[in-house]
Amino acid sequence: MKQELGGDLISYRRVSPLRAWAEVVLGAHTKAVRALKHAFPDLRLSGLTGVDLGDKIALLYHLRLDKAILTLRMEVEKGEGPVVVDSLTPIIPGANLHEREAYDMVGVVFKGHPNLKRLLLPDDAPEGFHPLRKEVEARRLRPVETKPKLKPVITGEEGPYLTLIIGPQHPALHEPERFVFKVDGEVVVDVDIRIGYAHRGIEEAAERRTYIHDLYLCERVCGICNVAHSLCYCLTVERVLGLEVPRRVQFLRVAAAELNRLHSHMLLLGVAAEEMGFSTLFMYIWRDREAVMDAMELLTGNRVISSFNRIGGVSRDVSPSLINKILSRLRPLRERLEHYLDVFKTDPTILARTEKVGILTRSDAIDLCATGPTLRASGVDFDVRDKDPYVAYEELSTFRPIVLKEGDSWARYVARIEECLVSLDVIEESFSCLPGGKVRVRAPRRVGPGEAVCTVEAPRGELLYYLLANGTDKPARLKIRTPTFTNLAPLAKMLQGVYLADVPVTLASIDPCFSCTDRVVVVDVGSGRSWSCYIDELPKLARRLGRS
Amino acid sequence: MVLSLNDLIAMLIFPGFFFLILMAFFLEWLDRKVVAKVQDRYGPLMAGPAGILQPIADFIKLLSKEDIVPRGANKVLLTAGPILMVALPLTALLFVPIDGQSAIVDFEGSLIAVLFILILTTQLVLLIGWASANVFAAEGSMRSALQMLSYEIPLALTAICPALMAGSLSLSEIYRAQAELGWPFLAYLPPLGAISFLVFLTCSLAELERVPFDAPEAETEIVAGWMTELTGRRLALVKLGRNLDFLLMASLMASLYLGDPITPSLPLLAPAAFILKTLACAGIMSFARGLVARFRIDQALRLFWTYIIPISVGVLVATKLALLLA
Repeated sequence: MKQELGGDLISYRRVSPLRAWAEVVLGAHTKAVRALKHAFPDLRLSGLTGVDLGDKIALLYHLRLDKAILTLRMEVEKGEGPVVVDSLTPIIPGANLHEREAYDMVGVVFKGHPNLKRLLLPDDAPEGFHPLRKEVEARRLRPVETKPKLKPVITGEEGPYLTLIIGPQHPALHEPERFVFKVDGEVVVDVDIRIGYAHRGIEEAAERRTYIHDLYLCERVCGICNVAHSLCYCLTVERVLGLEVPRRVQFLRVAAAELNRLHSHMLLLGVAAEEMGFSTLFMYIWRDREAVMDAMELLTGNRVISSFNRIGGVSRDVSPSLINKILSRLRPLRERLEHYLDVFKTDPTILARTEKVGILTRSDAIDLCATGPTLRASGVDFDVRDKDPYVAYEELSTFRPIVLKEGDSWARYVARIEECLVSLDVIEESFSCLPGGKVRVRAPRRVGPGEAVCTVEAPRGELLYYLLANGTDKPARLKIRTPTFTNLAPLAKMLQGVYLADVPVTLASIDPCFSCTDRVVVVDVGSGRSWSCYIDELPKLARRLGRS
Repeated sequence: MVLSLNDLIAMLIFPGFFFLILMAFFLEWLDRKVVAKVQDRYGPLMAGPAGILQPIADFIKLLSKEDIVPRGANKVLLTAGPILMVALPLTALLFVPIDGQSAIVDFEGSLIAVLFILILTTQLVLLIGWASANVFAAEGSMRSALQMLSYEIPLALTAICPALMAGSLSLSEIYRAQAELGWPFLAYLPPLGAISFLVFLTCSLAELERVPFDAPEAETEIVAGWMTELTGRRLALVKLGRNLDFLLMASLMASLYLGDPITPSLPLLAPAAFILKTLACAGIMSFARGLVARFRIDQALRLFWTYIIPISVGVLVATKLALLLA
């Protein structure tokens, strides 16, 4: 498919029907992506991994072509001065944030990028400091004193527009993030999103821990969608190991993942109601969500961080009586969810606040690499469970992707309620056809050498893990690309042209999870001092900050 | 004018300031309990029986909190605003027949005075928001002013309907007229009285900035709106002022629309009946808070200008005509 245009192709291998790896010479990636975009109009950049190989940096573009993932690999010599490659943003506008992250973390300069600034590290991080470079040493880092810049409280007009800053602390934001809005009266003209306030350097930390420790680390990337993270990590490691897991595990993993989705979607719907000023609906949805939390506890032993997935299986088995308990706890939920669907479809105040608000067209959704319900609510039929199935999804007849055409906030909320109903079906089916067998197989401690890319459909969209293993008990590189990260560019697009009052509703409609997205810098915003350190030093730093 | 001891007691204790402030706290508790019930929660529980002392506990706690005036804010206005915020509705409440017979201060035109004070309260909101030197506060007070432009007109127009029916502009006189007539104005000239009551209720929700018209203090959008920079004592006073406003609107509703022929002549039952009516009106407004989502400011304006204002004009004209024909 791509041989025709790639005279610069070094190697190409297809490891499975839906996974392919290609290596190109430096600079040929734009040509290759352009040719691929021509052949697959729905092509999206799923992730961009930068790996420091010592004297070279490898860039891996994980491209989603319809069903398959093609990883385009390119090596760049480090040498003196900055490492420069061409930007992909003219072809795929959604590559914007991916390239900023790669610039921030491994220090690759993308030529032709519209806004190549720090993304996760603070703006005043030292020049040439890129934490995932191997030459960076933790013990060399010292706290940096910067002078706090106090700006006037009401910022003056910049050009014809008023600048309004929301965040990092604001009641509509449940996590610290900063939005700089340019507003014309009540209408948002442009928005600049700054993330990184909760960046903890998990990718670097993962390289310093064994595979077993990393499981717990990955599970804590995000508390809400923890099952998706642990599942994706286990699948990636299992794929490098070539480990066959028992069939019973596949179905149990489906049940846990879907319970997780239910709880996550219901949490969001409640938050959405709260953002609209409809606190009764918020209370009701969260009350009903307790059933899911209880079911989760019955299945995995934990309410939130489930610790259910293990490399090579799951942590515990279920008995038929336990299954009955779980299902009976979930039984009232269907009726409640159908009621909420009805509320979202008919309540005039909800319709007034969500319909035609924050519209994302199909072509924008593709260009800006949206994912998950955000993508599907814009009319793109793509669900990882459907197109690139993992665990037991292929065998479940009740699963169907939810695709809506409207592309507004309303569609994104309704898509989630309908997904909840599908999840209930899937949970029931996976329990009813649960095969016998073991729930765990032994996995070796050393992994590799090898590499793998895995994706799962997390509640917020496609979650991607890339693992480079070198045969030791620690990963050489673990890349995590969370769904919210790639949904940020579409979010900025949605926010253009909405009323200021609609910003919270639109923001919640992508179900943002910034803590997932940020993942070793602690910024003390209050005193304006910023600190750079690695995760090992955090306890010490925390003590020091506590004193000051 | 010579103040007798009785006047002093009426002014300061019952049905004067002491009682009114206690009532305001009680209404807050009622409001929180009703909304909690609607939302399947408990509401306040800990302070006093069924949490009845919670609003007072909150008030005392806020009084003891740190007082912060932001750099760039106008300190004089920021101090005067909250005090006036309490003083204005307290003054207005003196014109309302809380004891079910006659208001402490009664004169022909007290209804107009109350309506005037309501407008002043909204002006205060604008002033506090502007004096705070905060984007969110400015935005909130702008929204508040915008909203005022839409609800003040129908509020005044519908408040005139009972006055027309009673043939007086004194609140006490309007309340007494209903006793003489034998009907509350809610049920007078059906359905005009009822429509006028509903319009008045809707405008009251907007006046009080309650859901669905709480865009001026929409937490998820603009933090606390015009109240963003208020802390400690200032916030405590403003919150008390809001509760007094709530009491004022509920008691206005009770005196304009819910008179009855029996109780005003009985000295002990009259205050009890009036207070019960006030609580019922407050209960309706609390219940509404649990039922709907917030309107965007432009949607609220559209609602008022396209529906409520024409309806209120219509009701006023129809009432006048019906009275002429009767």
